[in-house]
Amino acid sequence: MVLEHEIPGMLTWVILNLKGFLAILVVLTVGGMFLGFLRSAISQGPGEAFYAVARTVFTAGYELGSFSLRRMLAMAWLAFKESWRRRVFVVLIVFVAILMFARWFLDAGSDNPTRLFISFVMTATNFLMLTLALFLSSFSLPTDIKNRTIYTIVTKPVRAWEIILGRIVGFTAIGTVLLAIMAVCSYVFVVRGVVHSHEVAEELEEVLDDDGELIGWQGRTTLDSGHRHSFTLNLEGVGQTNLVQGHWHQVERQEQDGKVRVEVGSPVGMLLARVPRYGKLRFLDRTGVPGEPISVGYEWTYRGYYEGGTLAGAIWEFDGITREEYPDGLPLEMAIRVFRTYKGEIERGIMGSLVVRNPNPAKRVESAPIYFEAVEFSPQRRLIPTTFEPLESDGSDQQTLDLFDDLVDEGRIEILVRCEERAQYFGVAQADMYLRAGDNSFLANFSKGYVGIWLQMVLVTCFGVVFSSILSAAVAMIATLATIVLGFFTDNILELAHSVFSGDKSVAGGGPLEAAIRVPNQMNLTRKIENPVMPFIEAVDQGIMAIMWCAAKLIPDYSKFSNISYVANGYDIPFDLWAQQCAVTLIYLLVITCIGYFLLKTREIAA
Amino acid sequence: MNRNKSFWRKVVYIALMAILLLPLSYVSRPATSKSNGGVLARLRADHRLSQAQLGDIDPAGEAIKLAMFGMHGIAANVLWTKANHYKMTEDWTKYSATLDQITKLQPNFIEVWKHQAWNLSYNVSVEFDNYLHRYEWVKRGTQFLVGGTRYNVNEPRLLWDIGWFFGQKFGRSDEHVQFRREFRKDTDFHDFLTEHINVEESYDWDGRPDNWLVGRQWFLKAQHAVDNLGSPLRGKSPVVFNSNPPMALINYAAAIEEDGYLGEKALFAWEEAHADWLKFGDREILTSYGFYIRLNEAEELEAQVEELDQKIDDLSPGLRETIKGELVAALPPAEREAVETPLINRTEDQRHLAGRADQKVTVTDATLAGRLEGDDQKKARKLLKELNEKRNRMRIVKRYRGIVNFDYWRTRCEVEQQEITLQARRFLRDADGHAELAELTDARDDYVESFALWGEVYDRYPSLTDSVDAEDIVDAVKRYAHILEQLDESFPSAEDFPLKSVVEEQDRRWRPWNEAPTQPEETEASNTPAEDEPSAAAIESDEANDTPPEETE
Repeated sequence: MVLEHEIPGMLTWVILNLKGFLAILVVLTVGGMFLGFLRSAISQGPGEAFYAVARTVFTAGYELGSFSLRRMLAMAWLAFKESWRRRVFVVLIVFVAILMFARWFLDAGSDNPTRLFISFVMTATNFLMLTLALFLSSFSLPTDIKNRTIYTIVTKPVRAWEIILGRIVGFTAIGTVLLAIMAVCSYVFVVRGVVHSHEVAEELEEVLDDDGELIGWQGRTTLDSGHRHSFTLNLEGVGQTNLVQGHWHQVERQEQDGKVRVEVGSPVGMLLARVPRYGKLRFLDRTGVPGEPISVGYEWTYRGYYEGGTLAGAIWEFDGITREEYPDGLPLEMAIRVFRTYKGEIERGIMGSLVVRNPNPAKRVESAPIYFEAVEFSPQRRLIPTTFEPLESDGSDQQTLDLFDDLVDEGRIEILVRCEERAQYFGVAQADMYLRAGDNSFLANFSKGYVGIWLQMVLVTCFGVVFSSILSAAVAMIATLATIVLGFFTDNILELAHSVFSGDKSVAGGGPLEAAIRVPNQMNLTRKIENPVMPFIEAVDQGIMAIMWCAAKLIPDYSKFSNISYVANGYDIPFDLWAQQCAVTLIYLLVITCIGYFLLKTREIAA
Repeated sequence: MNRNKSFWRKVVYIALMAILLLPLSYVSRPATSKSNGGVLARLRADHRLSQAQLGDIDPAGEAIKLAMFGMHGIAANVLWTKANHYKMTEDWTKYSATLDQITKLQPNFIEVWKHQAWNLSYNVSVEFDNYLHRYEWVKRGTQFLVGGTRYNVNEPRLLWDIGWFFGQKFGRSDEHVQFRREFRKDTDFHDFLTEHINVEESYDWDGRPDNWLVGRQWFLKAQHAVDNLGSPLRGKSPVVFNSNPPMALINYAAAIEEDGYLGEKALFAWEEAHADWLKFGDREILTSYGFYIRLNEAEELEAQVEELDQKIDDLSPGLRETIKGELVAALPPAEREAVETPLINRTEDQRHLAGRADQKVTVTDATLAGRLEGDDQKKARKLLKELNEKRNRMRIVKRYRGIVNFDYWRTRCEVEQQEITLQARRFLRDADGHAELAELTDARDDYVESFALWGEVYDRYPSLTDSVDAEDIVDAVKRYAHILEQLDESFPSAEDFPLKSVVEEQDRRWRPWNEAPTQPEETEASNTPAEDEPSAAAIESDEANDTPPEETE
């Protein structure tokens, strides 16, 4: 699985981001108070404005102190019923219709249908839930205000906190119910879509050795779900199929009363939730000293390459290695990319070696190389044993090495991977090798994936409710939609903003005004515009991009809440990631609720 | 008063709408089983643009287009961007799925199918190290293209591309041995193809389809679409387009020889290929000049040109020589002397002067006709007109022949049907086999036998000495030389080596026999263009290069 950014531990993450969060909090608090002061100062003068702001802050504190959970839940229940009356369950009908016709669009013969199906259902759910949250949250308050039904609420002893929070909780609750139903439907769809069975297509063929003795059988399965497998059986009649579409089957031959029956088991490796334990990667250059990897010309620099037949290599350092945790050895999985500068032997993979060694330079002990043939695009599993032969050049008298006694130093171990063929290259990234600590339940992981969608829905609901407390329905909807778009394209906007500010044109095409000139004139992105007005346009673009940059920094990055790739690729969503997502959502919930309170109070005052 | 006004306004609007419905119906009434429909529907039918005429109507595609509310162009742009991103990040599953979505939005945009099929078969496949995975992706690209023919029935560009993929990608890539083998075993793929072509017609002798023969079937389908179904041939030269079916047979014959089948099967394959190539030569090909030619008519035209030339000469026998004499006499003295000096005796300067003078003393048919009088001149001018037309046509036919290397392949097919060629190939195959097993003396003996037979072949067909096949023979000679080195034996002398001319033609520097390298300046200088006397110049260069080997030893 591609992991472009390492997920830091929760504590590290808090330390890294605390300053930023505090800064945003201070900016919003001070900025909000200042804006309130300005607004009041215009109508009432600075003295009165100061008292108005102070009064508002004091009232807010007082109202927060008299916050009633019962009243808030009553508001939530009201919002829930109101949503139900608006027939939000239509979303379920749309979703089911999408699932029913999904097979038209999904290719069961794809090289990895599990990934495809999971990506599809989660993306469809994501899209529908955010759309639902957008409309529900944006239209509720303005509709109440327009219909004057809000007065039946505000005349009751209900605080603005409770109105805002109650609506958020209510809409979140209805969204949660719908999401849960969609999750169940999605799970059933995925399982039914990918789980399949095969029969044996034809009579088994005997496999004979050079002396003509029977050593097993081979055959192939029927064509089901757009694929078939070939398999070999040993003399006991047990074997397995080859890996196709990311899975294989166990095959068993039984002979009873002269009749032969061959059973193909259910698919193995389809619905997984691997729990990887990643190490830290560093590279050696061709002289064997620490260095940088080579580029072989790919645009995507996620992987670094190093040359074979030299001292170049990639070293992963793992920690927390103990005998108790890995009594049978280290369950290593790796997926290495290969770059050939010449074809060589086409029917054979490129040979590599891995060496297990002690990271302590004072105890330079390493195992003899373990050779392997590189396999791309699917994790190759190897169990590093607990005992090894030492490297001959070591000079030690030991006959065998013990993994934990000789090669692990304070829980750390190094694994060095080399390419053994000259003029061929291996390409690796940090996440391409890991220890497979075990597997979690796919169902649990699938549910965790949906929690990510739920968190996104909560954020959209928050924004929708808060915008709708000051803006009309349509404008609130557009504002909330803008936050969604900004949230999903945060990286692109920040990259564009940087390019516009710095003038390095790393993103071709310029800012919005420059793009507005290029598009109708059908100019390509890199052509220089010869116009005396350009400096002015560039200055305006920088201003616009500054605002966009601030907005992108303030609004949550929704793509970081998406756990689809973990679930689809069969990896467990790490707890740290999950905790970070929940923490961010909670912080935004608190901040946005505060903003919503003040905006609603402003409206009350205006009314 | 206001209410009345409003009411009447509405009546007027409704009446206008009703009146507008009439021209609207005339223009855009859909076609039904009982009528041809309005103007637009008839235009669509005439230009074969309606969805039903272009191909299948896909409910998924129509549904997704409806769901886009007319913005499927924007959606397609977004999908293309996403597809490029997935390709860059090597996410092949999503890449493949995104391409499927793009084709659902734009099923009749041919370039989508062509470009992305090429991407899958040629660009994505090479990203995989395992040749089986590469085969799967080449197959996937081909299947993608075949899928495009459902929505674009009888589109020659797609049909031709499929034939190309089966031929070139399966049969010519670095992994062609493996791909051909896997394709022959891939019964699921054969079943898939059965829905579109008669796979049995592509069966080899072992009852399995061959990729070249399958490719040929697709080429024939493309040809049929153009010839009989009126599909326009866009973006392809007709001569190249029509050469592909027989070329597929030629490639098939060469491929089975490479596979090691050097017997009756190969002979039969070459025979079929030859017959088909000649049939191609008889085909009417549209030229860019707007008229049709046949590649086989070059010889006929040459004979006609000769005949007409002779007829012009017969109108006044000896006149040509007389005019030539006059022209020679009119030359400046130095040039005259150069022309009158025999070729062998000319100095370098005289050769240049003679070359220039030759053009001045050439008697053209127009000059000849101009010197005739009365009826003879009229006849001559008429013959001249016909002669020029024939010459022009012959030039065009020869140029088009050159485009598809018509002469070479015709000769090659003839040569390959002969037992001597097969035998030469068998010896060569055995020699290479012995060499791989380090059986050096056996390898040497087989090479000697093979080269002797090849020498006879090239003596009979000297035009083959500068072909790609001859390059392979020279590579074999190099392997032979290497074996001789290992056996500590010397290479045969130039006179004894039967493939001397082939080696000289293919490699200007390498001379394994003991001889000084040829002097390229002399050879080039002696090849000055002299229309009337090319053979003399060639003779002269041969004589200049003919240093006796004994002297250098």
